[in-house]
Amino acid sequence: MPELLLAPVAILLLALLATVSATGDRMLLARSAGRPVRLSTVSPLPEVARLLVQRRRTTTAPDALLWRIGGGGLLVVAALMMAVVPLGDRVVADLPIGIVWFNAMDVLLWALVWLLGWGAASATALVAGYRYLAQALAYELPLMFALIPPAVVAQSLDVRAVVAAQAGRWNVVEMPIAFGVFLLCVAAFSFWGPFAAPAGRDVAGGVLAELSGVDRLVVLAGRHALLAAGAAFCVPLFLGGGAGPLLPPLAWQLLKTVAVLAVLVVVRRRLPLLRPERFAEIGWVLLMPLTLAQVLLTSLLALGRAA
Amino acid sequence: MGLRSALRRTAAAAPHVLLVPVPGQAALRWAAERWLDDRGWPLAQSPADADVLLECGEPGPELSQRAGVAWEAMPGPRTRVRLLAADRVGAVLPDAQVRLADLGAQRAEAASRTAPAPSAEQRDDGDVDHGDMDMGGMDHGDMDMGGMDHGGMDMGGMDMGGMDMSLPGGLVMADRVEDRDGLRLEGLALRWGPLLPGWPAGLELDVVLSGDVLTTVGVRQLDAGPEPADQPAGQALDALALVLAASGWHDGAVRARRARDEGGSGPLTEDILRRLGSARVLRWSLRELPGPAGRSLVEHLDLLIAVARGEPRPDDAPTAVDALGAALTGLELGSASVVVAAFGPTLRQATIDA
Repeated sequence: MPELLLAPVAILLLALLATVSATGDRMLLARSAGRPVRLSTVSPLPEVARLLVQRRRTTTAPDALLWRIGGGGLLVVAALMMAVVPLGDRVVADLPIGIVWFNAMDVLLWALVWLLGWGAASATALVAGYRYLAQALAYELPLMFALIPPAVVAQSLDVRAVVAAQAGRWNVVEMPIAFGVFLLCVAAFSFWGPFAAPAGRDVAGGVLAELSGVDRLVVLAGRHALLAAGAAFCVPLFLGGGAGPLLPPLAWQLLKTVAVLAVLVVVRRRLPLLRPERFAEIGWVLLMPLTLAQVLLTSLLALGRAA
Repeated sequence: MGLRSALRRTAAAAPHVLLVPVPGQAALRWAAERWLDDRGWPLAQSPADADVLLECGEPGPELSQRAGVAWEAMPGPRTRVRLLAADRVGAVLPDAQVRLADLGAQRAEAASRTAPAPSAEQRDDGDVDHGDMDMGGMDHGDMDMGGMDHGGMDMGGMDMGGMDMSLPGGLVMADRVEDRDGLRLEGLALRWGPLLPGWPAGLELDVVLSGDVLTTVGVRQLDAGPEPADQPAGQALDALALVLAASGWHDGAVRARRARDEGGSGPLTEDILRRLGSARVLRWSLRELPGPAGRSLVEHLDLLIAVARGEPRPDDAPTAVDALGAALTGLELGSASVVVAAFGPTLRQATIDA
């Protein structure tokens, strides 16, 4: 693959994965409502057409610029996360600090989702924006601690070095807690499923409450893209990246990403909402000590191997 | 032209429907929800998300006014229909779908819209002066700080204080109130309901919010109407569906609605009741929340499950609206919405006796 094509291919893959997530979600919804699962009914395309035809709307005195930045920013952040995911033996942005980069991008979401709530100048949207921050306070530190063990084993923050260090054994074997917490946090930063309080029905869709037409489409697509980018980053971190028999590395990367995405989509259907004030308890009392224990365990194992 | 109409038809394949449930007309809402669930037309979360406004019954003057406000906020293409008989649902909604895809009808509809209020940027200099007057309003606020009668003034003067502090666009600024922890925080007066998905029919709350905590709650039942109480199992499942929708378990809510339409006994009912029996995360997330008739919300849930299984409904006194207001005070919006969903059906029983 020529260097020039790498970034467009990454974005294309991201769009594809986001579509997979949207389709899978609609498939499960149709199943639980007892409808036949047909491609015509589970495809997200009619919904895209609907939002393209729909008028855009505004509120009485919106902070329009910040509102649109918040909405469009989700897609940009998802693409920037995808930039450090190795695609086969190549990577769009070969950063020596890829893991920190991913973390920085996810922190950017704090600002973006809050702006999305702020910009609409609507009480329910603003409440929802703050909900995202409350939730972020609970998941961000566990997420950071979940990112550390793979870096400790590889002795590098370079994502490709992390993949190389898993030649013998996937990280998930040695760090199942970090893997699980990372998945939870991907759902949380995408405000997905049990973490969808910032888009909750009690606040009329929260940060989505005042969005229609293409503005809504951009935010919904951004949400699926974030979920997909998180799933894609999970693979080099815990699941051996592109390693696997027969198929080329890129194919393995994609297959594993789709599998992780499937887990995230199924979880949404199975669990009720974890309201932020309840999730804070899980985040601080349960997840934080667990991830710290994971860091300790991984470090001791790494020291043992080095000795 | 062919392409454009094809796009419009695709766009109208599964319109999002904002329901206006009318008190006393639950049968119509059930019929509508069943039809929508069967076809995969989503229930709209907010007016901005809606293509079709569906009134399930003939709303009274107040509810009608609320529906009108929602209608004005819908983006379009849009259409507004009314369901007056349960067996008409298969005619009313497809009709609405045809109108959504009809370019001519939508153009005419769009032309009939009233012009929106000018946005802040479009206003002329005269309004900047008005902005300076707002500063005066702020000073007035500071005087309140020095004053002695905080509590009384804030409660009584909420709306007035807000009007003093009108911001660009005519929006109202938050006042200050005592919150549940005794801190003096901002208090934003807000009308909550009645057109939220899964919300009890015609229930409207006038709340003062400090952040997302309800500081004061006034409860009003718009256009109360008696609800027939002839299907205890079905109604228990419907009440369960409301609570599940409110607690964000969309899947469970859809399954409970399907079980309800099954008539109260059958494989779907067994399925959802079994799932509910083992729903540990749900129970954990609802613990410590208040339910109606002095029970906790989890106990209320178990009671509904028992009634859905065919056990007799307990002979509770109807819940007064004030009891809901008291139960909600000090809760976060998210928790409060679950409590509202649990209280809703018991409030409507109150209107039968009244």
